[in-house]
Amino acid sequence: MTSKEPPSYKLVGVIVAIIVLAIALYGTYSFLSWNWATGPGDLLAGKGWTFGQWFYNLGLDFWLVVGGVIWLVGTILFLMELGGVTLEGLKLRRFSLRWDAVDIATTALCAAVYGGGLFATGGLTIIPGFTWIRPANALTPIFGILFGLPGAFGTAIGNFIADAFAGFLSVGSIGGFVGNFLLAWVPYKFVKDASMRSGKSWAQFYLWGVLIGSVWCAIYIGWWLYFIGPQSPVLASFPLTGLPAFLVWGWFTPFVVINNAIVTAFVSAPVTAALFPYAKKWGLYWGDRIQYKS
Amino acid sequence: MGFELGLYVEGNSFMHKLDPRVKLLFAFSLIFLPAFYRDPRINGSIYGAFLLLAVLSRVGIKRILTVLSISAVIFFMTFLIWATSPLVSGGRTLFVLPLPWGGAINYTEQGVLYALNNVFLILIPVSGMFLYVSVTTPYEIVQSFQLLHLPFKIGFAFSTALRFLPVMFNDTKQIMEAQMSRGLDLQSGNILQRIRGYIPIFIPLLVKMMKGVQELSLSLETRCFGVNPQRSFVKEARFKMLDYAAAAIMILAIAFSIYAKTVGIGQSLTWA
Repeated sequence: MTSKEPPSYKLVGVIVAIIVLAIALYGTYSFLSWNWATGPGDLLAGKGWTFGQWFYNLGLDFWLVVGGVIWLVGTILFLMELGGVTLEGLKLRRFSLRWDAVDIATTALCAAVYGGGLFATGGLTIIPGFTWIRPANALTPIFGILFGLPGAFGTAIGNFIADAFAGFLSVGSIGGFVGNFLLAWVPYKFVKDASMRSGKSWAQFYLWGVLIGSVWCAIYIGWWLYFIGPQSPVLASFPLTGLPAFLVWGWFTPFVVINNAIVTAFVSAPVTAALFPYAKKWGLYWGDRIQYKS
Repeated sequence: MGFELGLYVEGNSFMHKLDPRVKLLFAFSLIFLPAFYRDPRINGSIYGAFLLLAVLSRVGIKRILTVLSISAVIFFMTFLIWATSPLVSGGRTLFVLPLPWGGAINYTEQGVLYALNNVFLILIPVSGMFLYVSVTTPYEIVQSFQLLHLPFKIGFAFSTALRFLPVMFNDTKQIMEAQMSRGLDLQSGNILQRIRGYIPIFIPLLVKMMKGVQELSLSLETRCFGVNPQRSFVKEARFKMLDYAAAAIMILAIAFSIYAKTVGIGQSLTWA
């Protein structure tokens, strides 16, 4: 931690980290300690595990509106980044990324590493056709914080490849594409110090990279699956997939939250800190490559 | 499993010979077609037609068995969940299934039909996309991007990622073996200790990846990557009679499905 930093930042960093770790650990612990003997019966009765039940109990109307807003904001931000406009604080700024050989190579290799890592655990299915246990999700904030947009797009493409290889590719993968993009994009935009040498950067990492990124990605994909599913208030007569709402909000979404949060909380920050000097030295750090337009 | 060509299975069937745009149309048709019907018999027929197509595509028994095994898992889980949904419990009881952990599930006529229909809503798109990537090379996928006027660089990044997947796999394996020989233990300890065990694997892997980025970008730059925004292809894609026929069949199938939805064909959840 830097000595110039006020001690309050370190305290905030520690408090945020503890809160986020507690949420991630509670979700994981309750998932692992779920009674698997009576569990299937509970599942069939429409009851999830405690953490998932909390999500589901918020109600379908709540998720339709809140999830819809979160989905819409995520989609707009994704399209803006594609169009060369980004968020700086609360302002919109035009930027220029050349998408030259370095950016394309970064995108491709991030996709290869992430896609391969996800596929390696593709057999550990949680909801057939939709999600599985994914330790490689720890890579997403690293790619976002170090490589910026190429890393975020690499994450999205990598998820798409893993979906195809593991037999999960469907219209739901559209949500997975943008959702995984957001998982890397959120830390890219909101973790300001990629060296991770200040309490503030750790607080930003745990708040944005672990908590908000994980929740946003999960709700984004969850809402998409709900919206195109048979219980959708809009597409019920034309469903594009067949997941029931209780499985989407009581299982899929909370599972994606804890899967993302637990691996990023314990792995991503030290790896980012260790890799930043290399990314900087080899000219791959996004901050040295992007140009803002006035 | 060789990943250099993604999931592509080499072959000479009519599906392999189709224009990449027609193959994409085929994949999209299989995503949307089952959504037009609420009758598992019709969606079951679509899935049957798909299986026939998979056999005729000659992608090999191993690939078809993979599709069937994925289908079986999806079928079992989705059926079990939907058939007991309180949303659809009308009609007479067809059978009662005792559960090994206690209790029993009452399967009603409407519940079973509704469950089967939703099974096909998941099965058909997932299996369809699996067949699409089995008969389409990464080269053709990149070509599709160009032909549909989408940014070619996205397609290029996608195909390069597929190309590097085996390289990264081997690198990961080597790093894991090297770290394990130094005492890294990923098999024991609680979940947090196991998760933290990935740190000494990720760091050298990502350093190697960054070196790979430098080498690949240098190689691309020496070939003047991106100088000409219009990419040319050695093998030009042209529509042939087979492509027109296949595209016409799929367009007709979609048009009929829209008509069926409008007039109410295949929308009834009863056996009659």
